[in-house]
Amino acid sequence: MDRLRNEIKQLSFVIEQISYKENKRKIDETHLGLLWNIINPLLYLLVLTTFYKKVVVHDYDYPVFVFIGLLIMKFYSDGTMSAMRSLVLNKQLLVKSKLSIGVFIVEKVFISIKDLFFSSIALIPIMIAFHVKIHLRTLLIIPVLFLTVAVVIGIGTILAIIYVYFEDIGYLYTIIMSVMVFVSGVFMPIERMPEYVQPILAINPIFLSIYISRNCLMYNLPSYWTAWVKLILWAISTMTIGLVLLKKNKNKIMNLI
Amino acid sequence: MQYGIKQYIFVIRELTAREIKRKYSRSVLGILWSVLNPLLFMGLMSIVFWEISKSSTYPVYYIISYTIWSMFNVATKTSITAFEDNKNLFQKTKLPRLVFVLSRNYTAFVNMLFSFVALLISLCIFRIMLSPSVIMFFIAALFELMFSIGVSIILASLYVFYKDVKFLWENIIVLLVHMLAIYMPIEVYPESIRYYMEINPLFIFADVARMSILEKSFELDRMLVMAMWAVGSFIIGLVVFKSLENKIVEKI
Repeated sequence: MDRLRNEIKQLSFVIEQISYKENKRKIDETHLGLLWNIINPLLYLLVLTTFYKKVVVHDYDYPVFVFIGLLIMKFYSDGTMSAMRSLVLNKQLLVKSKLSIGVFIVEKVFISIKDLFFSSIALIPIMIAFHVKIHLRTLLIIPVLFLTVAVVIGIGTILAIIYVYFEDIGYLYTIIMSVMVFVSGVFMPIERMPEYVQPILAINPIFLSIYISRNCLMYNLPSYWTAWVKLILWAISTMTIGLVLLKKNKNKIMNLI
Repeated sequence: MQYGIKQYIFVIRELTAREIKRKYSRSVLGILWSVLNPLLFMGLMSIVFWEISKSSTYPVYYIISYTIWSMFNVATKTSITAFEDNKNLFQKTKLPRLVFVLSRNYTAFVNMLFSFVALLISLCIFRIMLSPSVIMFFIAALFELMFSIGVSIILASLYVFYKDVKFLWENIIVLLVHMLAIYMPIEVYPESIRYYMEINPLFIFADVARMSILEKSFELDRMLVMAMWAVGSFIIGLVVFKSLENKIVEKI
C-alpha cells in the first residue's frame, strides 16, 4: 500500500513538472498568456450567438447553454488530440527515461483539465448575469467531470497507440472532431438533426457529458438514467481498451519510436 | 536586383516541394489526403446540414466553400512562422526575404489544386456540368491567393515582434470560417448582419467561386470588389514589410 502511494506521488510529481514546463513556455512566449483560455470561448460565444440566430431557437439563457457546450467540447478535442500526439512528440524523453508510457498521455490530459478550469472562470459571471441558481444538484458536475476525464484519457490512449503505427489517424480524427462540434449539441440542439441519425448521436460521449452538465448546472433537472449508464460504460470501456492496448503494445511502441 | 525572376520562382518551387514532402513525410497515404480530406468533410457535413440548408446541391456548395476556405486558412496559418522557421536561410542567404512567405502561400495554392480534384469528383457524383464560367473559380482563387499573401506578410512580420500574434490568429481563424457562409447559405443568416457579410472579402471569394460552378454565372460588381480587396491587402502587406524590414532583419 505504501509503495503504491509512493509511486503515485512520484508520478504525479513528474506529471506536474512536465506540464508546468510546457505551460511556462506557452506563457513566456506570449504577453497575454493564459488569458487566451478565457478569451477564446467568449469570442466563440459571440460569433455563434450572432450568426446562427435564425437556425437555433433562442432561449433567454442561450449563452449559458452554448458556453457549457463549448467548454466541454473544447476539453474533449484538446485533451484527446494532444494525447494522441504525446508519444511521438516526447520521443526522446520516452526513450531515455524509465517513465511508463501512460505518464505522457495523462500529462497532456492534465494540461487540458487545467485549461478547462481556467476557461470556466468566465462561466461564473455569465451564470450570474442570467440568474442561474446554484442547487444541490450542481454538485453532480463533479462525477460528470471525473467520468469525462476518464473517457478522454481512454480515447487519448487508444489514439496515441494507433498514432505510433499509423500517423494518418491524425487527419481522420481532426475531421471527426470538426464534425463533432455540430452533432454534439454544442450550439445546436440535436433535435434539429435529421431524425434517423438522432439515436446514433445520443450515444456520443461528448453529447452525453454536455447534456448531463447542462442539466445539473443550469436547468436543475434530473438527467435520464440511461445517459448516466452510457457515460459510465464509455468511461469503463475506453479505459480498459486503452490499458489493454498499452500493455500489449508496450515493447513494440518502444521499438518503433 | 541580383536575382532574376526565374531564380525567384525556382526558389519558391524548391521551398514548396520541401514543405509538401515534410508535411506528409510520416503519413501512409501522403498527398492523397489533400483529395480525401475535402471529400470526407463534405460527406460528414452534408449529413448535418443538408436538411437545414434546404438546397439540393448542398454537398457541392460545401466542398467549393471548403476549398476556398482551406487555402486561406492553411496559407495564413503556416505563414505566421515563415520568417522564424527559416531563420538559418534568412541570415545566411541573400534571398529576397519575402520568398519564405510566398512559398508557404504557394504551398497552400498547390494544396487547393488537389482539393479541386476532389471538387471535380463531387461534381461527377451530382451530375453537375462544368461551364466555361468555371474560369471565374480560378480567378477568385488567384485573387484570394493575392489577398492571403498580403495578410500573411503582415502576420509574419508582426510575429517576429509579438508572439501573441500566433495565438491571436489561431483564435480568430476558427471564427472567420463563419464569415464564408460555409455551413449554411447566406439566406439563413440574420438580416442585421447580412450587409456586413456581403462586403467581407472571404465571403466574396467563396461566393464568386460558388456562383461560377453552381449557377454558371458571375456578377461584375462582386468581381471588382474582390479585386480591390486583393490588391489592397497585397499593397498594405508590402508597405508593412518594407517599413519593418530592417527591424525584422535585426531581430532575427
